[in-house]
Amino acid sequence: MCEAYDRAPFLALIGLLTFVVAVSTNLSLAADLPDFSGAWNSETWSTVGWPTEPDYTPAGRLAQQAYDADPQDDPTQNCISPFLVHQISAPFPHEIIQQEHRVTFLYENFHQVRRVWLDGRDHPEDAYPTLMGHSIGWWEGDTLVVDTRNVEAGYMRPQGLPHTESLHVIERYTLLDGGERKQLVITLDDPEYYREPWSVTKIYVPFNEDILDYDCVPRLHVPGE
Amino acid sequence: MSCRIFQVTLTLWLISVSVPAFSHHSFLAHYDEDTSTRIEGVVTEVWYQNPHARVYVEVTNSDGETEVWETETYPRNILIRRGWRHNDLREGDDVVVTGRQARDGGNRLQIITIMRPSDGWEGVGFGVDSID
Repeated sequence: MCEAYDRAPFLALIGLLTFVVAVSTNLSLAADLPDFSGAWNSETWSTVGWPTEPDYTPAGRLAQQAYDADPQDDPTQNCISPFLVHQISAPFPHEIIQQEHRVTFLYENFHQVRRVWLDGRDHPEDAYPTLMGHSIGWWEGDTLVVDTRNVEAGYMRPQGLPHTESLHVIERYTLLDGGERKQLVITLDDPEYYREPWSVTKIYVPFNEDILDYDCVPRLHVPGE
Repeated sequence: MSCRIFQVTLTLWLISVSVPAFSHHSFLAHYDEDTSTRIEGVVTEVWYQNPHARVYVEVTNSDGETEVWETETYPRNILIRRGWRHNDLREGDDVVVTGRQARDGGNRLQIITIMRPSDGWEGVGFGVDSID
């Protein structure tokens, strides 16, 4: 009993030191991570880098042909929010809020919001697919890796590039030139529609203007109709 | 200004790397990229909106009949950033528009250039490599 009391200050000191080291290490790690916070816009126009003839499977080819036959399938033309990859490729800025447990993308285009969970969780089992899908992320050195599944079947571009719910999206974000540019390498893997995964590289630059509101209003009339 | 219509169909023969970029696009499923049509007329409505802005133009065709053309350009948010403010163009303004005409022959153009001769104001149209 007395021995335990005698050792109490020593144990308390050890505990305090452990706590201080743990907190400072955590802060240090957070401080060392790249900071993607702020507004960004694509350095080039949205069409740059996207394939027009990817290596379709027969089913993928049929889906593209069906799209070509009815371009009104592009949901954004009717003010319906785009699917994840279409959003990522769109010619509008976005803002990033970076936290230790989560990175949030605020897209100007259609006001879409996307949360990337960095807290170690996995994708949910048997989730209902959505336009943005479910995103988890982690750090590989200075690269933020974002892994997305559960995206509703749709299109990756206004040109089509259809995908199924099997789509698996990997985004790898890195800062270049001391943070003056942001690189995204996005890899699209949908074995139902494409024979091989394929990637597109996009470069973003800091966006110093305001992120605008985005009201969408479908056309009211067409001459002669 | 007397409203006349000049439809000049030009074969652009875009033999360049931009051709594949046109091969699958919702816009170009609507519009014929190999043509350029020019109209002159009076603005009847400015549809300054997303996902695409539109200007409706009343023109007088070669038969002396008036008809309304729908001309289409970038989303409002991009027009704002490129300097086309919401009240720059108004109903009643005389304009000259060049653009790619609808494949179905309808009175619709994807704007390449749009300008107001009275003061030289120029709007924002689509470049050959910026269709999205």
